[in-house]
Amino acid sequence: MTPFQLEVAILIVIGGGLTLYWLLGGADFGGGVWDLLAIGPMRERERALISDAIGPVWEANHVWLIFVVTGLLAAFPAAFASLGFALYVPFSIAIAGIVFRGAAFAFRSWGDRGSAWQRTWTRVFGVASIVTPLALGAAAGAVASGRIRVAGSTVVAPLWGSWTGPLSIATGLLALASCAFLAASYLTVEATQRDDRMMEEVFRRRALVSGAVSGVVAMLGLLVTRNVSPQLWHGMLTRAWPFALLSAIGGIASLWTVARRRYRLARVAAAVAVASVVTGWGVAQWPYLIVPDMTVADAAAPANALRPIAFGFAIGIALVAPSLFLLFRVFKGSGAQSGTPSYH
Amino acid sequence: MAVSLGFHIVFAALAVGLPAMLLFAEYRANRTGDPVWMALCRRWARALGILVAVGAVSGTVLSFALGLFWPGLMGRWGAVIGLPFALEAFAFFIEAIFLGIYLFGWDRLSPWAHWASGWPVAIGGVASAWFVVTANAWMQTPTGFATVSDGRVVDVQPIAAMLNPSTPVMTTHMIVAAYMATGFTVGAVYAVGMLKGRRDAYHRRGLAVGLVLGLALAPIQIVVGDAAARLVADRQQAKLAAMEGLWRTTADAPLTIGGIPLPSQERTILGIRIPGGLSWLAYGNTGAVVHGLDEVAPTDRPNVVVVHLAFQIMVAIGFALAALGLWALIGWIRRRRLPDTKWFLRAAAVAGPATFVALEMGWVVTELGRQPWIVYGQTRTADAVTSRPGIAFWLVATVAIYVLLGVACAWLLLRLARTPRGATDLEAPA
Repeated sequence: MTPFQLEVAILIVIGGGLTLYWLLGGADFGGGVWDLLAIGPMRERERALISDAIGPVWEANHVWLIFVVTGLLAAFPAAFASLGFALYVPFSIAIAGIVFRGAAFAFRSWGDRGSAWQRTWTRVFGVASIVTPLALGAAAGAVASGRIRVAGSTVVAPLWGSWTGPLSIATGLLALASCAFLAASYLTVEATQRDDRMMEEVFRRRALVSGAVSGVVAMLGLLVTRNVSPQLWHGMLTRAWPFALLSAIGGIASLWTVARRRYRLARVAAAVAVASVVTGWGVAQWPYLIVPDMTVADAAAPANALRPIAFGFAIGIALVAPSLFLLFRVFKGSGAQSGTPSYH
Repeated sequence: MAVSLGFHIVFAALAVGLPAMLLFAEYRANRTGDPVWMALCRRWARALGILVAVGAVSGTVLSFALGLFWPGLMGRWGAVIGLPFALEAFAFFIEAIFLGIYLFGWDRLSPWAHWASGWPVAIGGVASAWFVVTANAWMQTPTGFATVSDGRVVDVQPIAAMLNPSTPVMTTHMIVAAYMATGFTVGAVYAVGMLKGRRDAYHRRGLAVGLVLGLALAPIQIVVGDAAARLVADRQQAKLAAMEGLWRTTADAPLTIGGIPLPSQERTILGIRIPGGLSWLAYGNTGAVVHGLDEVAPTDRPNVVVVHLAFQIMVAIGFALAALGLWALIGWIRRRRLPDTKWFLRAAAVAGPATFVALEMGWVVTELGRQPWIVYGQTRTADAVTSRPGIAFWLVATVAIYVLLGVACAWLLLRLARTPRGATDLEAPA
């Protein structure tokens, strides 16, 4: 395989990791959003459902982000260093959010019910779950927006301006809304598994609302792209439009299936929508890794370095895939029975 | 970054070591059906849940921090040294996936299947530690590349970089340290309990499992540590000189135990000197020449005071732990059981925190001893750090966040240790 194809293959695997992080890790953040918004008499029941759903899987889901970051570091070190510099602020916010989200989730299951300890960490968990997808989404928008300029080894990007443009605002909101939608639609499955009709209905309604919001934000994002990022828009019109179409179909299908209470099918449709957004994004800005100066080929490590990475990825995925399958079969499969895990 | 790592190392060490102890306790529980073993196992599993959660997020911070704070390191060297980080992600994946199964799967798996799900946690933890430490080893003895006259890095060989000369010794030193820290910490918890009068089978066994693991490894660690120091003597002479407080190159170099280096006068005072000791330890010959700090320009020297003191503290704790092992061994030979006198328990209680002091000191020696280089002999720390403003702010914020998390986590673990062994641990799952 020539190095050119190899770096593309590695980038596709990293993109796959990003998709899975959005679908799985994103839903865990969405769970935190609904946790924060849980008000009224049923809030404890809602929170219990969310905690039980997230508990066994969030760490494994979170590793997809580590995979994306370290994969980028190893295979595209120039891009990694440039992004670390350019997106210093949003990444800093995201890691603070990640730290507080994870720690708060682990901490809050302790302490007495309704104690100040539990209330405080629950609040922290919810706020961090909102801030993190916003920051990561804004950072993704910045990569595509053309506001990060690279000349040789010099990166020119304003500390704040590079990730607060209209495109970043749209992608940040899209990340947040889609996470909320993913979480709500998965939670309907969790509720159905434990025959909790009331929770099913609560989250079904929320899925419909947040899904509709995601769709509106995505369309606004396209409008913004047309007006502020001509280069990206051009790529969208010439190459990426099938993926945009596919993501629209997936999004509508996921809403429709949730409305019809076909929740498992809704997961598939949502996965199609998210995967095609990530793919479409990559295709639209091809051949650039950071629009408009750094191409994928510019950023890639030399072939000598890429070969062991590809090899490591292959072995790693061969080990991780069956393990993940086992994890989800144990906790999320149709065989998984209702009842609180014995951990608590 | 330094703060993040110093914080992460504590959680990571326990997360690496604890699964092995869980496997042992659960094995005993499954074999004997003894509820005490199961109680220990359940209790440790809960602690592990907290530790890995915090370890996972602080580890994420590190992966981002490499780009945020050290763009000069990663832009230049990422191709050489990115591989172990990418592989570490997979090792951590395995650890996290099976930890989910292990912690939440008590009532969904048969006892032996559940036990088996703990193995990948233990192996994944050790593998993660191994990969990450190879990257640190590489920063000490960088290999696997060539540089051309304009400073560009060419002919990248990431596998060779991972297997650099420091890798075997440093990874062993760290993994053994992680197991020791875990053993002594667990032992310390039960030693405190026994000092408070709770001398039941639960506490005795908890103490025994923890201490035996830690004490058995203490002498091994001295051997590994010695190998590590000899490697430093070969490859990083300025670092060895700083560790030993040796200012001038000499044959018959004495080993200075303790003592305070005075940079202004370029000498080390108040130490006990063993003539020829350092030459012998470093090169196996009391007459060998040991290179002193006078061979490098003052600007290229590490902070001698900190490195020397940190090294002395680490070594002192290492030997004290070995001595504690001897004490336990004598007790075992004479009475066929671990000593349980007040003083022994007090020593065991102190040993837990002491291993963490040793761990942090070892890390200080490794990192500060390498200064002013971030990649030894290749890139200076000052050239690698980001030029973004607010590093100082971030440092303060990081410390504040970690103090908060550390306190909260410690509070939880203490609470966990104090909670009387109630029905929750033993109750058959509903």
